[in-house]
Amino acid sequence: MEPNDKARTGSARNLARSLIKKCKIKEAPVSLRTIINHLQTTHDLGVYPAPNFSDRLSGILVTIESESADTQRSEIHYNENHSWHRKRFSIAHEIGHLLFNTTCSDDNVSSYDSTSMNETEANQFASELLMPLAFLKRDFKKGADVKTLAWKYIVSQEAMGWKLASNTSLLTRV
Amino acid sequence: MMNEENKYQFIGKKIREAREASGLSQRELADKLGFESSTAVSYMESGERKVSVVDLEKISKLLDKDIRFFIGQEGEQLNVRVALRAETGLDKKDQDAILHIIEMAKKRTKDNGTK
Repeated sequence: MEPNDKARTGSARNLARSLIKKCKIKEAPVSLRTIINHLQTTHDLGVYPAPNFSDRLSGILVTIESESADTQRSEIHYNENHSWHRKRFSIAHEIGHLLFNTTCSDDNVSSYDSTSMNETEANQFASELLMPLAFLKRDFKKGADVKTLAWKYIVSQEAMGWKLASNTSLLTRV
Repeated sequence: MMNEENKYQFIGKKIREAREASGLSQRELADKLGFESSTAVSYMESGERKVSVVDLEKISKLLDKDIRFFIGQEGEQLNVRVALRAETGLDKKDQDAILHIIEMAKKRTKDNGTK
């Protein structure tokens, strides 16, 4: 990873932490409803379930700006056929795009690349939003395992496993 | 929000603009609309005569302009930006679903803007 990319993922995590703080969320699970309500105080934002996405499409953020730029509306649509865990991650991921303003022209939809830096950044944001390290450290110290933690944070065991594995140095029980 | 009088003046100005651009005289436009004299067009362009929707529709066809041009709602360009969470390579069905969502979002943006 390039130094600049590292900085971006770091700031993605920091933004997630500050959002949790602003929303006064103190423990898991992180309520996306609370986060969205908070964002709706500053953004014209709608969140909708999408019934007709294929399994490959998890979510989309659409931002519409009028020419005079005096109105802007953002909408997050998530695949409603996915599991609860996946839906939460998709919504959190799109919130990341919204806050980082990492959207692209609608002509480029077909050239979407899931491995681009913008996507990594949104994933890092979502991961930290749903599994804040500060909360995890506390819960991990109490001796919870991956399965219990995943259940508590309402994330998949896979996502929790990744989170713990990538923060081994910070998560020690001794 | 424009008051009614100003609105007719605005529409009149747009009619004049479109008529002049098409190279028609007031007389010629009056004839095409079936008005008895060019004064009617002159009054319409100054906003003193309230143009009817039926006449406006005729004018829009005669002068080859979208009817929204005359009420100042033409060319409200909406800038669309998107971000996805997906696997690389979307099929046609998903691309169509995305286009549909964009259209709906545009509509909601317009509706919100006019509240």
